[in-house]
Amino acid sequence: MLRTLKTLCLLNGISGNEDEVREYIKARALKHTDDVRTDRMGNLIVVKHASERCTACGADGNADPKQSAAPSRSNKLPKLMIAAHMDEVGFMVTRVTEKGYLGFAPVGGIDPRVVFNRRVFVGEKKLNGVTGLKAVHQTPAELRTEIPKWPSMYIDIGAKDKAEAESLVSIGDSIAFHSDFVRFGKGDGFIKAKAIDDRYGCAVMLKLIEKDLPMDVTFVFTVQEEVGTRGATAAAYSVAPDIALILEGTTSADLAGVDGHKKVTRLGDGPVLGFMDAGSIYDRKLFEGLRDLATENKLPWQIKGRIAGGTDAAAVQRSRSGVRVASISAPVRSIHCPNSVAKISDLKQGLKLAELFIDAVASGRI
Amino acid sequence: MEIKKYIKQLCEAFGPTGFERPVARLAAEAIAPYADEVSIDTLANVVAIKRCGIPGAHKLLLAAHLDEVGLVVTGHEDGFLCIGQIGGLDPRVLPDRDLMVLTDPPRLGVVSVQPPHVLKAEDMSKALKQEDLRVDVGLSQKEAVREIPIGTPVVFRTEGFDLLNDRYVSKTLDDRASFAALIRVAELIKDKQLPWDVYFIGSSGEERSEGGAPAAAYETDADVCIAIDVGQAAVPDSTPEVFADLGKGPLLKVGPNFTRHVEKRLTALAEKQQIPVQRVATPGRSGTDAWFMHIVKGGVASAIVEFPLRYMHSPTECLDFADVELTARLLAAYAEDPGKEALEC
Repeated sequence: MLRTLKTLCLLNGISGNEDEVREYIKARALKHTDDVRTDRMGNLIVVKHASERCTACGADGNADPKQSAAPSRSNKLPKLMIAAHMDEVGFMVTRVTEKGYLGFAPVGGIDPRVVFNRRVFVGEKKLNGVTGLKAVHQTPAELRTEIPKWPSMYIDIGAKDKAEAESLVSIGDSIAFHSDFVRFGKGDGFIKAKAIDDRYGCAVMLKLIEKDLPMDVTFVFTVQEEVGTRGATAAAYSVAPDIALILEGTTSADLAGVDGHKKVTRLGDGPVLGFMDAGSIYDRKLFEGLRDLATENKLPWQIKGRIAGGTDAAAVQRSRSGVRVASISAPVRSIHCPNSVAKISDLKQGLKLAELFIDAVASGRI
Repeated sequence: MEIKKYIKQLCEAFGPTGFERPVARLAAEAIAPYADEVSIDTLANVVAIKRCGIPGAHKLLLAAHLDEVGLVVTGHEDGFLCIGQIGGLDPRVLPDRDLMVLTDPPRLGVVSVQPPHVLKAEDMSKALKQEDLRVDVGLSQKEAVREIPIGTPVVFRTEGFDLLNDRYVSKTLDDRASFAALIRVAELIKDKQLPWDVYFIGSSGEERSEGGAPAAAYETDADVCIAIDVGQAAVPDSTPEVFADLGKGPLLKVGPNFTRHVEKRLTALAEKQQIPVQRVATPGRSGTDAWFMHIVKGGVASAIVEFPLRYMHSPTECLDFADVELTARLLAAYAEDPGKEALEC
């Protein structure tokens, strides 16, 4: 999964411009199923049918004839959707200055304090740029506490003037952080990269698509989560699931000097099971199901110590006549930053738990 | 000569002030093909000499510093590292910064920040203070204390990249790009008959003004010292007194630290060779090695030639290769033809 995650994190997909990520995932998914479509918003919807080799095979009503011989109980299996979002936070070009610098605005929630002196990629041509801040020598000490407002920030692409910049960049072009993918820490047990939120969820889904599954599962790679779970709203309507499992990267503030529940989640304490966040109160039975599955299988699990953040579950839960939702998230430090950090053990345990969840739904336990 | 190759190689090496020796070795190796003698002295200055063959020759010293700004581990908290600064950094460049912690072998660290989801808007409008920042190295407290002792240096880890128009972004262009310019000068004058010996110094310690350069100047007993450094280029948030621009040639930092006859000669040579220069009035301390070399021994004629740089002391400094080449050409011209005052004192 790490190799897949690395590839995914290095791709750029600002909310509303997820094409690069989708094309990669689509190509990978098509090797394992023909049932792949992109909806009008750009969500990628991949149906992986139950494997014939699986004894617990199920189908969701209109499965192919081979599966109609599955146990009668299979007709009662709920329709399962698993979702993760393809988009990442970033920026967009808002203006070009007389001297050829670019003004920009954030797409999604970004702390302005992490954007100075960063390498960025501008537009489809991936023009190199760097976010500027005048040198320390030009800044009196008392002004080094000021954070410039978004409209006064700028990106330097090296253009000589406005005309040159405008010949290469258009207002509205996407801007993505540059960041490499590096393993580090004890036993190389940690990774740092951009967009772990939520290429992690995408990587888990790709791994699941590649496996033999005990029931039909609809995998939805959503768009525009970071600007208001918009892709998931549309996808949940068209997929019409009974149960949805959301895979995410979630906030961790387990930094030095942060006490107790203010850490929100801790790296190394296992996957985070959603019970409640700013967007949803998750289905209690599904939460308990996940919790029990983890415990029985000796997987660590944790819950958030603060009711903060949200996931696509908020949109899915309210779709049509309501959907039962659950979530498994990886705790991520410096989330929404170019150098987000996650612990590999949490990532792997999350994948394992997602697999167990599918099995539990297929067997009727959940 | 591929000046870019030298800039990339030198700038991506790790060598904060006080820990320059590995970079000094790289720099010595790089300049060796163009020099008659190369050594590294007590303070980790690189000293490369191009002899003119005249017995008792006068001496020109060209110094570019090899050290870089950085951080140093000052303590451990919950497995994270506390940090102090080496040289002048704006703390606003640090949050969520990826760093190299210079253990053996070096390892990644990330300056950790709170997720925006738990912050209020007003939290995000005030800069984090450097003393409140911690570096995530993926270790427990016990492991961190054992594996990363207090005093371990830490540096930025930017890999260089191109912008448009031959502009280039990297860490530590201040001032290793200037040393690359010195290699270019050495190449330009390699087969020339020179009126004096030319010493190329890759100096240590500049960012804390405890420089290796004055020690090298003392040892050399030069007639003229020139510090080759980087100068402030204007960016959109600069105030009007900063006006130097990329691509418009070297800066001459004229003022008390710039000996008049050297200034006149450099200006005249620039005109003759059609090298554009940008004059920057520098009424006091020049903030370069020249400030200290000027008063070594009985005093040394001194000058400061810089090329303009954006975002100095950040992980993403930005230069224009044209300025580096123009700077090298101007210095080569001076090395060949310094005028009679330089050779008379």
